[in-house]
Amino acid sequence: MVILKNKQDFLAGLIFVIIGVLGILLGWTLTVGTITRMGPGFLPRLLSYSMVFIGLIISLKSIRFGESTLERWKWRPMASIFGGILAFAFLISRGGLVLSIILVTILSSFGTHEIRWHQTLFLSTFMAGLSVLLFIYLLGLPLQVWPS
Amino acid sequence: MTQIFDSLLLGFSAVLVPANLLFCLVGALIGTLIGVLPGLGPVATIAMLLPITFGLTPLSALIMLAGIYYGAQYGGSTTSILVNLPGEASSVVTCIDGHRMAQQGRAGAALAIAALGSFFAGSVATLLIALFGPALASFSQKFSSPEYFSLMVLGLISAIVLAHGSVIKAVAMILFGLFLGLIGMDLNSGVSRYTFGIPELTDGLGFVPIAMGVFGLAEIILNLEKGQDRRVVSSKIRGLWPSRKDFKESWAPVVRGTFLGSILGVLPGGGAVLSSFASYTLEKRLSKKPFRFGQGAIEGVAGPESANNAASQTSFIPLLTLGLPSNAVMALMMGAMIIQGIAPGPGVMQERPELFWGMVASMWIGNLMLVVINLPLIGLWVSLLKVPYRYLFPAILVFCCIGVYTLNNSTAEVVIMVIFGFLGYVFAKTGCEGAPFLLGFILGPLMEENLRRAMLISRGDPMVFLTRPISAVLLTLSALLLFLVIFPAIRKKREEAFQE
Repeated sequence: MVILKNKQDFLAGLIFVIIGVLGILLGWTLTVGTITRMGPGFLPRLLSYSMVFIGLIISLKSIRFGESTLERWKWRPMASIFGGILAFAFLISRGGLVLSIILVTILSSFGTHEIRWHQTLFLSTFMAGLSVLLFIYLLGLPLQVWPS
Repeated sequence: MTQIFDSLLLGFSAVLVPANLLFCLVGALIGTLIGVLPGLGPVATIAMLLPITFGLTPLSALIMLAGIYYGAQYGGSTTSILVNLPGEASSVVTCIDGHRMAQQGRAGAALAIAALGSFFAGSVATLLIALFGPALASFSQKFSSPEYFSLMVLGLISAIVLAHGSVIKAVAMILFGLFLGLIGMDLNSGVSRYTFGIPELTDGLGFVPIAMGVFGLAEIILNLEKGQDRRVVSSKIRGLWPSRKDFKESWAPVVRGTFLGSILGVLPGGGAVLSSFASYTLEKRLSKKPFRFGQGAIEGVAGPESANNAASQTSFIPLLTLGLPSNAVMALMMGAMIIQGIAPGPGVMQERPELFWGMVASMWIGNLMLVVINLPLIGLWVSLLKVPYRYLFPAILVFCCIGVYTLNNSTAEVVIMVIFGFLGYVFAKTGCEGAPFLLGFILGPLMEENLRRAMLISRGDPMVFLTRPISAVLLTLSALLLFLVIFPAIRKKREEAFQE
């Protein structure tokens, strides 16, 4: 039983292999063509094979060489930030700028324990006001301010 | 010579109007601000502000965006010296000796040398652009597809050589970047590639959401994971003026840093970060008392800070003369130019001389402004550092969202930003660098186009790359560089250099 010491590289290599395989499979129908007349699939195919090849080298090399550990992933900051942005994305066209900003500020604040509730509320109001002033009045961007 | 003088005069007359001076100042101020604040870099900032520039004249827009980039190099040193946290990736090495100097009560001297060195470097780099820009632009008119392709190969290879960490992971990241660059409709055949029927993908993935995801969002999440608010351990800044001894010790590193940075800035994939590292290593090697490095040696501040500023300016040369962006910031500048209806490349200098020379002139004026912004106003920036990260990151997120959304009024691009934020996080966790990935993404479509055209012209004969002299020279250089990376003894040296 080999104990995998270089976990970072092993995972990195694996990711590139997966990306390469996906590139080959999803681009299967693209015409490859010849070197004189390259089809749309020529370079994507070439790059995908290369990624699989290099990914394999990285992973295989990591079994014998190097040492690294993977830090634990913390889901809380990621979930709150991505959640906040996605909420913004889905709200902006219907809910308007002010609501979207308040939502993204509040949701992303869950990413840290260091902020208090009243601070979050103050920050979200401040950011909404600042953005309306800056983007609507000063720059005149065609954004909806309030829900329609 | 008189021609350059006339051209510079034209440039200055274009810049010295109130509106352009104002945008130069705004750019320099924003640049300093994001330089001072850790966790917010020029790539994400310029990407965020891109929609704002739609309404400006082309020259004002470019002056402001350029100011942000070189302004960040000034501001980055402040945080490094006072807080021991690099405000900017290119100021990482300044922490080593700069913060040590601050602890010894010499913060003022360190800040002043960093600013004055940067000013000197900025002035020299501006002059270099003015001197060599036109020559390179007329030379590059001999370029056709094979030359462009070989030049980009050289760029990618140097990006691999210059990557900080693992060489092979950098190669993989470049390949991934190139691959993503090909997504969208194939221009030759009209076939959609990897678009999955999503209309937003027909024109290819946008550069801004990717850059903001990989550099902006991933960075914020990583900062939150570490979960510590920074504390300003700023000792009182006494006396900004360096002593006579300080000047004596730092003028040579400033000059060396300037020239090293100017050269490395032109290289694709080079830029500010690399040149500050290289300058630090060089100064340590050349020093008669290398043990002083790490103990508050002023050379360790003067050299790298000059180098990163010089590099941030000379990296405009390939964009303005060849139309090739050499790093992520330049890719954004290219985007800004295209939005304004200007095709970046050798034509800019002839068709829009006031634009080229105006930018060159604005860089010198901007550098002058930055010395004023950074030295007398240092107290202001220090107090800004006291804004806790818990207030800062939601504000950054709001600007990211609005910036990406308003580019094309597209929700899909906001979602793409999230996807690449996640990928950027995974890359960071597995020790893969974002910079080569982004360079590959920028060059992907350009390389494919030129490769296909070259193959079509030569009827499929790959020898075309070697029979054309300029292309052959470029490829030989690439091969030499590649050899350097593979050759173990030199690789060891390179690793040592990055260790330091």
